[in-house]
Amino acid sequence: METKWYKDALYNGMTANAFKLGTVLTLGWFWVRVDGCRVLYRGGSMDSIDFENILAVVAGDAAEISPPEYVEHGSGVTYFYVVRCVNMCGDEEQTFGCAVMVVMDGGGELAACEPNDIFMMKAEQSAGARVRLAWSYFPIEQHVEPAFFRVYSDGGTGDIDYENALAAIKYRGRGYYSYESGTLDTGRYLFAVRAEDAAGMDDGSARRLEVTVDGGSPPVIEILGVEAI
Amino acid sequence: MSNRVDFFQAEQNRLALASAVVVVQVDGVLCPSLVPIEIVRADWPEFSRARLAYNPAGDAEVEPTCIEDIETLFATGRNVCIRQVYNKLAPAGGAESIPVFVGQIEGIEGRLGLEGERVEIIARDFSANLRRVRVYGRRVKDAAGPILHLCGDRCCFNEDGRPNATKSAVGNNGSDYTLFSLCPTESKFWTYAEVIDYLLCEYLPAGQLLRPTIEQLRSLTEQRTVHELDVTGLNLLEALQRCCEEVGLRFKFVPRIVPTGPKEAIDIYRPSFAKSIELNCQPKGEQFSISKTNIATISIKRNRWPVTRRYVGLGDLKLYEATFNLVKAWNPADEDTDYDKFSPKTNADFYKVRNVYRKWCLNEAGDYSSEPYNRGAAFDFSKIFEDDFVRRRRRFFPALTRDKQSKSLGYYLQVSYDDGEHWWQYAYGFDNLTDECGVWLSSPELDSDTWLAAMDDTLRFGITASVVGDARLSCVVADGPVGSVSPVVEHIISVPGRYKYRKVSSQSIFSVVSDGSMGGPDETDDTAALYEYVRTRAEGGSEVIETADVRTPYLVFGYDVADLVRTSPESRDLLSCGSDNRSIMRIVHVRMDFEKQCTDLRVVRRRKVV
Repeated sequence: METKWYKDALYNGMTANAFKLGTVLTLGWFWVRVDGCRVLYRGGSMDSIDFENILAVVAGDAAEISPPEYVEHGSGVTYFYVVRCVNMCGDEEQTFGCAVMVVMDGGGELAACEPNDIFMMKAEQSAGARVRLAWSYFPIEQHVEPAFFRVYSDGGTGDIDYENALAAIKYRGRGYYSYESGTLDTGRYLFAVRAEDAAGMDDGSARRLEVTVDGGSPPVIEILGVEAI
Repeated sequence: MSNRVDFFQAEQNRLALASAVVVVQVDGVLCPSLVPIEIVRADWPEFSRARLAYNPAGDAEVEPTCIEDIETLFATGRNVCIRQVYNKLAPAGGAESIPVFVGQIEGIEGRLGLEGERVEIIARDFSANLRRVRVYGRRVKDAAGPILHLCGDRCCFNEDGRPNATKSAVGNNGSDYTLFSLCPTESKFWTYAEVIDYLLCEYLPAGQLLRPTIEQLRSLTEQRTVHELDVTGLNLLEALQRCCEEVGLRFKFVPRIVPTGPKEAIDIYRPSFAKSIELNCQPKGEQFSISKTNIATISIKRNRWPVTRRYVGLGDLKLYEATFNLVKAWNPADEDTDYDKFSPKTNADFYKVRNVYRKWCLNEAGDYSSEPYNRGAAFDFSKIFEDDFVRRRRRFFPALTRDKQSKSLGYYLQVSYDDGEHWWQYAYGFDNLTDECGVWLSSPELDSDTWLAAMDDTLRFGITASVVGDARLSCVVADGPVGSVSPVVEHIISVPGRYKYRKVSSQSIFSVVSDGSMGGPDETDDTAALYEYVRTRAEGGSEVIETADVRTPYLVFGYDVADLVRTSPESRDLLSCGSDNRSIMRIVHVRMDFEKQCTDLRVVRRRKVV
């Protein structure tokens, strides 16, 4: 618990936080919200929530809280909001239990949810100059279930073609998935796998794997002689 | 108004406790055909292991492999990593993982029966590698410069209680660590930190295992000095255990979360400094809450207590140097003035008078007090020994006083030809008797000065040498009250030869020499070291008061061996944590059961050593 309202009005004057909490009424000497309250914070990630600036304050029994009008939401930018309770003495909890992620689209609406990213993707060359990709998918806190995993490749050009997928692997729930390419020429290839829901919304992952395909088999070693050294 | 009552139940489509999610990697690649059965966390001597079942159904695209071919897939030595999956991006969804177990395949068990084929993979942590390394020889730094490995020498640190470590760390194979020194004057005593560092640097290639720095080891071992530690012929695991045991440390192998560098680290720790966990069980009658109860089942076995364990450490017998006046140890009736009679060259029957004028003894057992010798009372050691003693035969040992070249003076025999007024070092041969304190003049013919003084009855002999007392170096450590109503059980820890006590008594003629004409005496007092050793043994071996087998209601990955166990004040005190503040509860064995989705813990309660 933290009683940071002291320093806002009493030491720093009439700050924005003090106005929202109402402590300007007592010039910072007393806590006025004797029924407690709930405060709203925001950050670009859960590790960088801006707890110095309170966005909004509502009563302790309120079920809704809204950020003020002047707070902007960039299109496609991810924001994390955290709500914390403050008790009758002005002590604030220090948990992340009440948090939500918000992404707005270009129209000012909540962006459609995406499936989770794939997990632990590995690639290896299999027999016959083929490439085998393996990955895992875990529906931890997922909002939308994927329908397919689409596999993309650069075809050796260096730019992955996200328009034309090499393959679509059907989603079967939590577990392991793999894809084996056809025979490839010797060279370096980039591969990417994205989870895509039934509406065609993919996870937008930029994760890619580079695989070098060596077409020839390693040279055979022949022991021609042995000598003591 | 209506008299109808509707009951609503919220729709639940998730388990309150989801099953634990793990993935298995073999050599860094996902391996869906391996399913973990159990993970065991332990330290010496078992160490950690994992058992995985081969389930080809997990990898639909790969043809099942039968028992005889399974080794082609999972060859021994391949790295196995079991990772726990968690949501890294909360409140959004996104999987990430941390290693729960890292090891290598050490065995494959196959079974073909009515239920079909079943193959299980056994993976063990890095201890399996250390168990295969044999410790022998010593890496020495010659004064001339080269670093050699002497295979035939014993790997004995501070051999015979003497320093044999280089004074500073020496670079070898990419690591800087202390080596053995060949030059006594350029040597210092090994500390336990340096010994552990030597074993890890010398026998493990750099980069395989993350090891603690020498500064961390010094802090852990409290800068304690080794008292002759011989690890020749042991495997590396046993050698480390012997070293750590003596300073009250334990070690285990843990997976590293950092993706770069070695995958495992050796964690050397002091058992009293571990993290605490809570094992709670709600009181009867309360509504069950999964956040307040993490004990599903518990089985407790309690031994008789309180019993005080009293540890008595016994070191070597105490050794004292003194200067002793010797008495004539022959029958006066055999004395004669015939010079030729007392030489083997001139008397064929010399054996009949061989002791006359030649055997001089301390008379410590009173053998020469009565007829026919009448040499007075038995020698009294009370001014030399600091403890009680009995009257019995002993023997002389070399003096502790050393010359300027740090060599013992040996048996420093002095003679007086004027009844003790002046003394000279006896320049002729003599034998030290081994069955009593005494000497026998062994020159074929007695020199004229000795003979004449014997004839005048003014011949005296004195010797400066060491004598072993009857008391051992000892100390006592107890883990409870002694002399109270609680019974006391004594444990004897005998470590002769390792902890010594040697002292030059005030009765030695060299005790007051401080003019620089002599070297420093070979004195030692290992009382403090013996106390530390006994205290460490007592801490590590204190009796188990209570053993509890606890099963959690769900699979927990965070428990580890050596974790201290606490209980919340709101919980039932099943483990007596609240009622006994003189004991500590510690986890000694962890088994994560993936089939039953629970974690089994073995918790022991021991008395704290005061």
